[in-house]
Amino acid sequence: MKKSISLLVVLALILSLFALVGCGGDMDGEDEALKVCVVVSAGFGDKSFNDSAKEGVDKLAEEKGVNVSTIECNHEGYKQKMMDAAEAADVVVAVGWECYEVEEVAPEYPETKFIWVDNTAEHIGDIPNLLCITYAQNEGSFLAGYVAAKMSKTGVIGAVGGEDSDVINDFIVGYKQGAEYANPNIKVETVYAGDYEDPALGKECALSLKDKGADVIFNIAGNTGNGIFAAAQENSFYAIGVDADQKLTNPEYDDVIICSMKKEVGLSVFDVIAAYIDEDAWEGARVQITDMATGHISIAYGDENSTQQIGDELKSEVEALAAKIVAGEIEVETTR
Amino acid sequence: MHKLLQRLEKNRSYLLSLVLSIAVALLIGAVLMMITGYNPLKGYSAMITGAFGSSRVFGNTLTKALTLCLTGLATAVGAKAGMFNVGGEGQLYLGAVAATMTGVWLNGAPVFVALPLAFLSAILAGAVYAWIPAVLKVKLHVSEVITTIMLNSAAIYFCKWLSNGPLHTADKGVLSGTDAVPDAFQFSQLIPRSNLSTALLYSAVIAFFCWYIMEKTSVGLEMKVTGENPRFAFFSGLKKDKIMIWSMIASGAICGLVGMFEVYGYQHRFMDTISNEFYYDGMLVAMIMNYSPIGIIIMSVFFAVIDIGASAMELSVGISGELSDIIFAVIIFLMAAEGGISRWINDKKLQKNAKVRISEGSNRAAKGQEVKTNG
Repeated sequence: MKKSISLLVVLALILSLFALVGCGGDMDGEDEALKVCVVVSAGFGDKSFNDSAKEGVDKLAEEKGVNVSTIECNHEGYKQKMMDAAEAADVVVAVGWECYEVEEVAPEYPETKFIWVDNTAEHIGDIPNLLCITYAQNEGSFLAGYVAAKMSKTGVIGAVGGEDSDVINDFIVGYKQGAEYANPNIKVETVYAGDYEDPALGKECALSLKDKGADVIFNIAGNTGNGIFAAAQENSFYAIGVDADQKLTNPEYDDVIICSMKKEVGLSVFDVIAAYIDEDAWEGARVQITDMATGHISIAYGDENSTQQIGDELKSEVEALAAKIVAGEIEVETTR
Repeated sequence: MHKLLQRLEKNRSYLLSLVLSIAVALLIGAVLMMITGYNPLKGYSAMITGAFGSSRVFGNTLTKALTLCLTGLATAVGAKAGMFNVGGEGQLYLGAVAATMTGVWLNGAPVFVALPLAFLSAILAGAVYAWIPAVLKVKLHVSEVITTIMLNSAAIYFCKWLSNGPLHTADKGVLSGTDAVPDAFQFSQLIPRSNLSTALLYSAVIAFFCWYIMEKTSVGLEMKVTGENPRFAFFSGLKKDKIMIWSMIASGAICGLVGMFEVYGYQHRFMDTISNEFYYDGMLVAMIMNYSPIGIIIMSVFFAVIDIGASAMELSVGISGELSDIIFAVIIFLMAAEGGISRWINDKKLQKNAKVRISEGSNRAAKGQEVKTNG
């Protein structure tokens, strides 16, 4: 008995030693570099939306020397984790709609700048340290739909959405409109996976679309979409990537991904923070819309090492359409 | 104090293996930090600071602890009477939805009317949903483990559908969730900016009752007897069916309340991410602590520190917050092996005693004295 008590005491002493030694340890790293923290509602590793945001800040670290940290909420405690971030960083980048409480967090930390991507805060106008960035994904999806319809042999194309939300539906209306622009008789089948992180589910969704005859399927579901690519490879149909240039982020599926609708979340974050660093420019309390005209939405075909399934003729058609959208000659429907 | 020491003495090998498991888990955590190129001292100190460093994070740690503690106690209340409630997650979801909508629909009503009704609705939702598998178990001998697991999915998907469909809020930006509970009904914050609310007080009351009933009353004893040996309970004249059903109902009611506390305490609206498998975490805490109420309360705080501290660690040092899951898993793994470890410790002790006796014996023999063998 005595022995076990003394054992416990020793253990407690060792642990407290840990704590004491640790306390002295974190005095370093107090330099002038801007601290940026990325808070994602889910986790990294989707090779799409979330990773794209991370890429943007990593580029900032490389080129501007900012100090980057990240928090993965894993679907829990978004508000507190944003506060954690706000206390540790100068700029907080919130990724994911679940971060809507950024509206309550930002006023509590007026010294910290907040960027919320892909969403619009309700009282954005009253919060000078909050900037929302939204994307004209409908414009890029229009082109994706056009490509899909042109590449389809069955006359049926599909799309797998992450959830039934305004942003995802914005993709879908653009996609449909583009497809019908290419071929008025095209049939567009869509399904919502209800999850952004379940490749197995994505595969199932893709196969159900395939059963309806779809031979080109648009991934609008982040990491879930990786299952679409797997299904495409096994059943030899085509897929279209999303957010990132997925021919490059998922080189193992290079043979089935014909192109990607690139939504450059990372680049937009980079641009905003770089301007803040270089010119001390910060214009909060507003929604910044990034679109094809600003260069944050485009169709990407990988690099010179990638397989090119799409012919040059179609590519130039896409380019011409893009120019028309930028010029306002084609008005793409939106749900935003 | 004397009594406490006595109890500790009784569970010595268990407690020893618990402490060892935790130490080993923390050690493995440290090794992982070293392998991934971080200083474990820095990591763990960041964890401690992350959990206690400011009043805000301290409040969050307490909030996490009460969720774990209540879900753990809910498991224990059922398990004591032999009902293994795996369905707490579903009961929690239903309780959360019921309480949220009661609040939303009663917007404008006086607080002293709305709040008790919200409590009642959460309790009812959880209790009724736990009652179904309980009756199936008692009347038809359907394993409650299987039914509760199945009912979990049913409840969670039902609530997801509600929050995405008929009960979906019109608030801009909230893609999936109900309206927020009116400010007047929400629990007041105990620490500014933190998640800690007066849910702390309600939880304390619930925890006290659980402990009191399970440890200090004849009902607790009856539950224990039923749980350990239902046949014996039956032949002793206990109403074992009733005891089993009611303990399950109590378990479900607590889970329903946890769901309500999540919403009224700090989340303010029902979202389908209301609980990130909180019930399973609590269930594991309860299992690790052998369903002892006091043990569950203590262990909840420990796990809360690791959980809340881990995300701060990720932020300040860069070590992945998932380390907390690893530590959690190792402790569970080792505690599952607790029986073996305890036996090993006992064997060692016996061996040592035997050795001592042998050497004593041979000493005495050497001195030419008569050896007594009754030792």
